Amino acid sequence: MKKTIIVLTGSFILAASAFAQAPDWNRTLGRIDEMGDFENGDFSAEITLVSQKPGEDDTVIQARYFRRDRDDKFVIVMLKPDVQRGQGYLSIGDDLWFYDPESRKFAFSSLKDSFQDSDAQNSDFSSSSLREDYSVESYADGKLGGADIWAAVLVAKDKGVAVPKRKLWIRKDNLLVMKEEHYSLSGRLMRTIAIPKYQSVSGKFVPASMLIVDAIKVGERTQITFASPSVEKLPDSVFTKTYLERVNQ
Amino acid sequence: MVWKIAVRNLLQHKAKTVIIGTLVTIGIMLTLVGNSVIDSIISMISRSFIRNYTADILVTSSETMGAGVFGAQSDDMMGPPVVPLLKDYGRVLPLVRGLPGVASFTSQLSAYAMINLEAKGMDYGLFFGIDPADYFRTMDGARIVDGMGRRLEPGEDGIMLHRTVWKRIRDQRGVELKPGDPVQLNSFGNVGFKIREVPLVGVFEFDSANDRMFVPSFADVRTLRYLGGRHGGISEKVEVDASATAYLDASADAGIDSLFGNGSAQAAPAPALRTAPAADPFAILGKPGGRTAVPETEGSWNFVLIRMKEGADPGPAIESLNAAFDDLGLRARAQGWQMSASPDSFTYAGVQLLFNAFIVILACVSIIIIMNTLVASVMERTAEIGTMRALGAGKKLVFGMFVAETSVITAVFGALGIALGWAIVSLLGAAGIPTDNDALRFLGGGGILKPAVSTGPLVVSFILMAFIGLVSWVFPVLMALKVSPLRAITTE
Repeated sequence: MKKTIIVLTGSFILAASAFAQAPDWNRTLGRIDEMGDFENGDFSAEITLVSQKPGEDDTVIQARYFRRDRDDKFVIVMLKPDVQRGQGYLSIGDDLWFYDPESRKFAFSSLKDSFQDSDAQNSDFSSSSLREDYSVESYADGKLGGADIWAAVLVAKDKGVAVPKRKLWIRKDNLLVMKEEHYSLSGRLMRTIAIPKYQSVSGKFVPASMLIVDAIKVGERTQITFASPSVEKLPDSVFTKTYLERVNQ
Repeated sequence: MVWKIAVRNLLQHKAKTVIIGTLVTIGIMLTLVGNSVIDSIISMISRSFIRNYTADILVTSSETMGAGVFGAQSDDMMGPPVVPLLKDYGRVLPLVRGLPGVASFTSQLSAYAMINLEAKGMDYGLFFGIDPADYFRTMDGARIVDGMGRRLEPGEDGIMLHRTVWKRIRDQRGVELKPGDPVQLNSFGNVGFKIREVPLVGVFEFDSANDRMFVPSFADVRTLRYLGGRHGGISEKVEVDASATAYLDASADAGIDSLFGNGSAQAAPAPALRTAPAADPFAILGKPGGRTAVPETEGSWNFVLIRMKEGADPGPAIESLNAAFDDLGLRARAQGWQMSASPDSFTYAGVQLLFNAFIVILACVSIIIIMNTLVASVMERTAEIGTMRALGAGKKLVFGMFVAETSVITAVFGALGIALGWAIVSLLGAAGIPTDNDALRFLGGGGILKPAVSTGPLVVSFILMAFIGLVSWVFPVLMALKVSPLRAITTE
């Protein structure tokens, strides 16, 4: 535990000194990606997603989330509510399938689609690839919640990316992304995401909870909480369609 | 005596009589032709809506206002329309069976679903869930496109795509679906994401129908029930601890930035966690069969559609059904095609209102022109009126003379206008107006419009004629009555 804290502190100091001046954005985006990338192992957690829509009861979904960043794959299996139990997602690269255990059918979907009719997108569960997908258009110094930040505007290098333009509030001292705004191709604000707290898992950082606010549908908001994180190696077969069928048998 | 003088005056001032008369003729003729065409369009629209979508009477849930076959506007402006379930369907049915004048009836579900074309994308569409056994007997507007399959058979799973949807998929997605091809339907309902794969049985089009944004396709009712998650009211509340909603609660009023507070401790990583052992990925759902089965409610329907016997007025039947629903406390409402075809039907009502406004404006303009011409005529006839007054003609005689003149003009030229209008409408009816251009197709096209003179437009024309006859003389007559014998003698 002590060793981990020393290593983490060391890495923050290193990061802070390296990026104290005008940032080298290619390096900075790469570093942000690395901080959340479990490139040498697997990651799993339990997700709780609570969605609020005006005039409706809160929607709660609990699911198990498995991620293998080195192969750009993730799997999500619904645990609750009961009527959705066993429904699941499999994402491999840019492809995503949804599985309905009742009809035993897969539906091809897109990372750009909303996750379970919430304010989250399927792509929110992919690993970060900011350096590969974006270039920094502009940035400014600022403060958010007392912390010194860079507010950087990123534009996608490729039209296929789920979010064409995003603005990140990046803490200068540890490079954690505190807040994001996602924009459409036409420049319209679509969503705002706040990540007030991260959890460190084996030297990597994943949000403890995040809040997503829909900018188009006023009053719609979603909180996602990641609990019971694990980096234990998962069987290869988890990241297959067969797994989603088998887990329901 | 007055009528004689009036006719003589009209013949003496032929030019003015012809000018005023022509205006009256044109006004009445336009009113009759325009109203007849609009009336025919409305009649064509009502026929196509009744045959294709709504029947003569639609029984829907009374729990959602304005719920027609296309659904009611959702609270979420960007969300799909709301289609309420007819919860008292089982108790509604005996009342429908016992209704006098009913030719046939059927039940229907309406739902919006996605046609998943895998890598080619998705198409979003409206589906009517039907039981082919009685649906096509009641709703007879759909016909299969030549060489494109057949109708759904009773008990068969499958879909019939509307030609517009089929063509859109072909043109925009590059997928040319053929009868027999499997089609995957997806839907996100109250039981999550649902998938159903069914064969395309046929491609159809309506004999005549307006081009609405969401043209309906047909699916067997089991498929639509499955996609819509008609699960008989199962509602499970998932309990979560306070931390799962902490940000939602904290930012509700204060805004998203309030989550960061003022301290730089925010957004910092928590100390490294001792990671939990991974749950066995193959045992996360517990025992086999742990998932609650989603029972299909066999009797779940959104609507009952009723066709009346030829010539039977649906009005009294609607009243009688609604009275029975109220007496029995049923959550159901019977309504005619216009309510059931909303919001589309409101557009047509708007068009008719616009045309009627145009007719009123035309009538006002006609009256003003006729009045001006009559006033000019009075001015010219000052000497004549003065002389008549000097010779002992009372105000009553002068008044009567002008009223008689206007009445004769209106009656003669109005009748001419009606005759001409009738002839034009008959010619249009014989020739037929193709409604294939975009504007007319939107209104109810796809067929040939054959206008005919009906009671409504005829009554409107007579009313307009009487209105012109009664109103246009008022000001000129008042002017005529002010002419004094002295002024008449001194006027050259």
